Amino acid sequence: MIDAVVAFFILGVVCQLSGAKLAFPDGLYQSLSLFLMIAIGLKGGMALQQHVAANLITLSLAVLAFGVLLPLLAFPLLRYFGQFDPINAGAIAAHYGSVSVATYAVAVSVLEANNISYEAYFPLFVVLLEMPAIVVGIVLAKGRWSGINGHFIRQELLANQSVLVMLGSLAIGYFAGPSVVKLTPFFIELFSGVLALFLLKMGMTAAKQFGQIKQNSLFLLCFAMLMPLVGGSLGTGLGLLLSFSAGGIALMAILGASASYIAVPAAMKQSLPQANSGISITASLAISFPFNVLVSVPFFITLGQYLAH
Amino acid sequence: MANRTWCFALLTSITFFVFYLLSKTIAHDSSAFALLSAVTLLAALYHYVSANKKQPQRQRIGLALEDK
Repeated sequence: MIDAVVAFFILGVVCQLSGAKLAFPDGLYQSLSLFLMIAIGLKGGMALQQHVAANLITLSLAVLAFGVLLPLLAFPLLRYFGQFDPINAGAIAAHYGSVSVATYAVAVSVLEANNISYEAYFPLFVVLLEMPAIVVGIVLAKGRWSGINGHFIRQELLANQSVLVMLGSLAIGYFAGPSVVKLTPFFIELFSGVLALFLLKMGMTAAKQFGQIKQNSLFLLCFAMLMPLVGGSLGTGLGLLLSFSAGGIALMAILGASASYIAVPAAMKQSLPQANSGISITASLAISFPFNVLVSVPFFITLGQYLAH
Repeated sequence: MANRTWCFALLTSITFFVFYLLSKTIAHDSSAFALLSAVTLLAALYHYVSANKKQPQRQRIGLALEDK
């Protein structure tokens, strides 16, 4: 049976395809995405306070290495089979090495609905996985390190909205102590409802992008569904290697499977202005996101449970 | 390019089929992977046939082959 929250994504697609005029202000979309990032960060910080892992640095390094590996795998596929030039191949590879907070939120919501526990430090991993793919994608596209300077690191990596908001919320959840309980009725208890609203909008946005799947359409369709399976399988392997719980293995897989469509496009626009952002956003938002929400998330959660037992 | 596209579609179809088998093993609903495997296989075949049909036509009318 389909998850109630995920069903709102399908409703959004149906609304858009049927031509229904559903007014959804842009400001509300930004607010909802901000809410989700704060909620994920706070929840992670609160959980982290109760279960601090001694080997967190080792785990974080492994996750960072995973973030470097994914665009390195995507790039040759895009170059050889897709015949993209290095600039576009690097930009698309960066999207697939990074993560989607919305896909992560869907996975967390499904795990919690099924009472499957997961490690507290995953919000930190989401933040960590946002960054390496951007750097690797740019280096692959340009074939050199130029452009990766102090200004770029400050502006695009550290001052990146999702990195800053999630890391800040994680720190507040961790250091604020019992006072953070005051925020839980808004940020924690309303999480699923807000996610449903967000997915309604995402469904409409994804359906709007369907028409853009023209150039290199068969390759792009296949790549945008194959890459989540490759990333998800590697994430499952990493989760097993790091001895995560069933929920942890599933979340690691879903982080590997997801593709960014918020943080990376902004970074690519600045660093690789020649890249065609339409191709990468169409692949990650119109193909990979629905594929992950409807197919990968339930599959990798079942696989995680199967492997953990 | 057409050659590489159908090759990649075939590779994707095989991957979906592997995931279909894996889904069956772990008792997960495998219908999505089965459907995707079949659809990408059909798309790969269509691309293969149309790519091989175009080449003789171009030779007949004396055009240089362009494997783009």
